[in-house]
Amino acid sequence: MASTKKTDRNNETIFLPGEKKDIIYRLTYLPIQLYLQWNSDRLSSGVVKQKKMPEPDEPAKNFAIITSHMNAICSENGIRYYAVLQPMNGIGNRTLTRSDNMLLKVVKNQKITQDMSRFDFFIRYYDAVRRIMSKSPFFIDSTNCFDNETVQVFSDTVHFSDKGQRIIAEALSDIILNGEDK
Amino acid sequence: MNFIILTAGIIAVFIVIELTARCIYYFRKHEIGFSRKVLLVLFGRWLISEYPASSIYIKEIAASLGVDTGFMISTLSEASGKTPDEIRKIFLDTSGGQEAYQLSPMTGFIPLPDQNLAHIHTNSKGFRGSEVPLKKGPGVKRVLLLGGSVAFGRTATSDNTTIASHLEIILNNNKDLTFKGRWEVINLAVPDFITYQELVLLVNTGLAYEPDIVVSLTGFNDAHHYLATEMLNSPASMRSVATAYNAFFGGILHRLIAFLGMFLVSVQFAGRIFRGSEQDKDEELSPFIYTIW
Repeated sequence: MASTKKTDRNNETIFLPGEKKDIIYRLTYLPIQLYLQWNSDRLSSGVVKQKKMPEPDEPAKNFAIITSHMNAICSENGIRYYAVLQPMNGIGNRTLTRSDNMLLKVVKNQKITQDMSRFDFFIRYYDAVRRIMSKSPFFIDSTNCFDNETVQVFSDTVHFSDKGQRIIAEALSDIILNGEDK
Repeated sequence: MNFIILTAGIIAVFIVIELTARCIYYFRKHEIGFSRKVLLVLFGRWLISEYPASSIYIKEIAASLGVDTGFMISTLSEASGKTPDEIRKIFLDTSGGQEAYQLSPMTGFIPLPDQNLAHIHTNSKGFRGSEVPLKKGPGVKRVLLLGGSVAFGRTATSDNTTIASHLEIILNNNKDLTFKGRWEVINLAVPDFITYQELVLLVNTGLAYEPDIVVSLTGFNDAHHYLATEMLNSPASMRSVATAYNAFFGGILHRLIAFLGMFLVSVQFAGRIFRGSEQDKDEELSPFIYTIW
């Protein structure tokens, strides 16, 4: 097959089949993905034991420590600080749309241990963050800010549509304005 | 009975030949490899049917498959019967491309400065939005927004529809406060940042903007990175590509296994019909059928 090279509108070189870059892509990304798939299959089938069991508390504790540092630095400089736990699709009391269920299918099906999916891990992580940060005055949980929304606010697992961006901005403005003199 | 089966078999063979010929013509027309094209069409059909609003960047998939983005959109359009514009809407931010990054000694990476993509523009410091002077003007309150891709507004359709832009408008439109000055919201969020990187960015860059309020919209990336680096031992920078591949091969493999299973069952079933079951072995069969089989 003849090798051709094109340039797209951003002046980035696009490599077509037969190019060296194409081979590099295949040689790098494909084995990584195959390894991840193979590893995931091994773990979910119980053929091998997990080297390390996932501990949702571990990243949650890191979150708490680092946001505490940020709060301390801001306080020293006379700045108000808020650590806002961002919403995630499937977490909260919002009724999931058909699109949401489809978007979450991959996360729910991807096993990280024999009996824990990626989604389960995120649920436990969010619970852990809420538990650990419950007494922190600068911590705000915004995971329920879409609860009353029936339209599609998520574009994927975490990112928002334009409507979602607007809603979360309103939630942040409420947080900011509550701390202002009226 | 045998005649009906034979006729059906011949028709099936013709259909297969016809489909193969059409495929070969199609692939030659587009000058693309057979396997690549099949994967592209299968993947596109599956993705479009399963994901009404996918988070997967079409440019990444196209680059991984070694094809042009425009070609991929037209192929998916043909495969699904949707218009190219509809395909563009299904995938995120496909027309404008994705922001590029440069290495940063403190935070690891930050977006390249002065990028002008279709939906994303970065200023001279590499942060999303217009230029912001370090020195705060009189009668101005500043809000610093930190976070990852969500706060950055990666899926926002323009710089004016990000959380930071909405927030600035909402705050400036509020008339209930004793503060009557102007609000400025500075978007210092960087996609893929975890809280540690936000802390470093706040100390090294954020404080220089003289903020009054710092909002860190974050949390998800910490868990995401923990899984990627601690559990799966995959390089974090490969994460998005790996996700795309996971969705890609996961779907293809499931369907391939299902297809092979059906094929084997069909062959066994057809074999029993043409060759006859154990009881029929002694019966004389037409030599023509043997020839075909």
